Amino acid sequence: MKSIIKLESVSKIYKQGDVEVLAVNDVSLEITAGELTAMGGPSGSGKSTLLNLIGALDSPTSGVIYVDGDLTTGYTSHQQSSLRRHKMGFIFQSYNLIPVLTAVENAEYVLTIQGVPRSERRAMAMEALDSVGIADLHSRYPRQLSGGQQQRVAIARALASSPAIILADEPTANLDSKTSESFLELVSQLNKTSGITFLISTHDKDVMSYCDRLIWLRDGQIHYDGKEKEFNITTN
Amino acid sequence: MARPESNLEGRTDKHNGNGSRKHSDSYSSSSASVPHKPKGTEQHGGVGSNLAMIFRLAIRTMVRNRLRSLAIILTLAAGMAFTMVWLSLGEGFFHKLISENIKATEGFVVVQSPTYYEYPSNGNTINVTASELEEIANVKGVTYVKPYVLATGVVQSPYNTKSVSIRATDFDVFDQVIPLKSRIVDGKFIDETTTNRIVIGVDLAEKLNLRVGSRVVVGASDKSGELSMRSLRVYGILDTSGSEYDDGVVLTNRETLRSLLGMGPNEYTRIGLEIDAVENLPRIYSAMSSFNTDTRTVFRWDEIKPEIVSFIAFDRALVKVITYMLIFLIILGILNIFLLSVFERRREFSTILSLGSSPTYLRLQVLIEGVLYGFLGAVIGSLLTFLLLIPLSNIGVDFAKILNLSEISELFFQFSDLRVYARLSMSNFWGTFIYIWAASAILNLVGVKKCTDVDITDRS
Repeated sequence: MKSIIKLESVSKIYKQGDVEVLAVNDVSLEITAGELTAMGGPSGSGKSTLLNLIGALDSPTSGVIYVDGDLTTGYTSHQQSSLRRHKMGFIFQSYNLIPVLTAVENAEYVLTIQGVPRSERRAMAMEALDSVGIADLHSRYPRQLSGGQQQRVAIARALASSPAIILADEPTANLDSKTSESFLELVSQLNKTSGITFLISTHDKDVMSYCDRLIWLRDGQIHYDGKEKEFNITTN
Repeated sequence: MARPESNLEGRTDKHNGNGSRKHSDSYSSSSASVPHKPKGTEQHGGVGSNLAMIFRLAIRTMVRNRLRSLAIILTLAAGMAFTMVWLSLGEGFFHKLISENIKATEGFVVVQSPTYYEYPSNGNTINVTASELEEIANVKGVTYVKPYVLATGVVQSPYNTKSVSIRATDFDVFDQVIPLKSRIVDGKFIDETTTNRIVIGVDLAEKLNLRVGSRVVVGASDKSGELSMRSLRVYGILDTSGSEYDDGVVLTNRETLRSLLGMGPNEYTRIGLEIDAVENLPRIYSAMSSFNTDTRTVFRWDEIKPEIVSFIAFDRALVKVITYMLIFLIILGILNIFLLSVFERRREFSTILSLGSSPTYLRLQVLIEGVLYGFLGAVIGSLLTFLLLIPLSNIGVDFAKILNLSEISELFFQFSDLRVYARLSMSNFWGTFIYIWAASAILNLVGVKKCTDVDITDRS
């Protein structure tokens, strides 16, 4: 299986005033193509920090990171920006759609900054919206969409550029249970039918239950990395 | 712990080395599938495709925040309109100053001795025949010809003596420009037939204890430099409410003054011309060039009144500097609005950067907003300007009603009235247009810098 993400002894230290916080401590992991992985843990366990490092939104203090075979540690901010643009898809907790763009324009945004010609990117964006079931809402602005619909637009935006991996940070935190379930069904379906690699940071057990693999963090270290079914949250 | 193998059962897709996928199934009932990116686009990201998106984001952001956009644009528009009205009224004042002041004194074009400006002696005269005067009067654009005989001398009564300026001209013509005849308060005004008569001002009459009919001795250096004196009678007393004519000038006819100074019938100190429009000055001046000789020279008013030229240039520059500084302080208020606009969108900017957009393009978007605001403000300000200048240039502003007339009457006596008409200068207009436009863009630079100062890891 092709390795999409590979971390070797990665650590991240933040400075809060005079205090140094070890947010991620000597983490090594590998995510292969097609996996649907949840990254869980209590608050402060380092989930978001690890996700930021994987997503090239931040740089590790030590260790190396490979994305789709490329060593990305030591990338400049410009290179990190390019990496995110071409290799990563993001789904945020608060959807983070651009409010002045329509659903299809949001979906094609990454394609635009990639330089895809207009006619092609529009078709790709519409295809992405269709794959998440909201192609008929393509001309609506985010304020005209429900939370669930906005999250689907966010998925379409992440999908449209065909990234190596889609990173989702607490994607169901702002959704009701029914919408969350619908979202997770969609993600699961996309993973199974299209083989898209997902890494979902969450503390929601229901989200974890949809994933094949669970990486459980505690105090910045991997405490469990295995099948979600075999994970016992009470003992971990 | 061992990592389980991925559950890939049921999938029919394949991966290639670039991570793109071929799909045969899809989520929805339609036949749509996850899109494929065209080959060769991985290294794209050029300015062209991004520029349209940047403009779209900028314009829609402006439209979305209508109240804020309106506040910015109207502030800029008001600044532009105020500046243009102020500068245009200033230009109107300068135009009035030139036309009225020059009208009251020498004239827009002057024929005099080439050395008269340096040596304004009583004997520094020119010869101009009657036919030449007629020829000058026929130059297109010349409205009045004022032939002057001028001297400095003294007037002496039994009670006192005073230095005065003695002036003689064609008072019928002169009165068209400066209506002195209507200012007579006692006696009569002189004409070409009232020889050996003078008209003096009310203040001079008081100082010398004179009344109509009084005899005075008027003395001056004649052409040869010798002292010449004449006994003349007061024919009229005038009151202009201005010190120049009321206290410092004695008016008489040309025959009387020529006799005092020993001048011939075609001798003059100066020929002054009034013209129909200041804008025609260059053409008229050029047409008058044939009257230049060795002993007389045709001058433009600005050649012999450099102090007025300097005053206007200095005042014009000062007004502009002060006005532009004032306007900048007024429109400085939009800086806060720009910063607020950036602050409110920090999550949006964080998202844009997280998705991989270049910080340069984000800054460009914010910069374009400032540029567009400036342009729209300047355009609407221009429309406001024209709307305001229509009445101000046709009806004008009567400063006599706004200011206390009696306090300024002496200063502005030589003005026929105190109504100032706004005059639009295109250089002022374009200068202000660009200034407003640039000011908006420059003030927005703070926002341009701030927009990328966001934490892209914090998307809350």
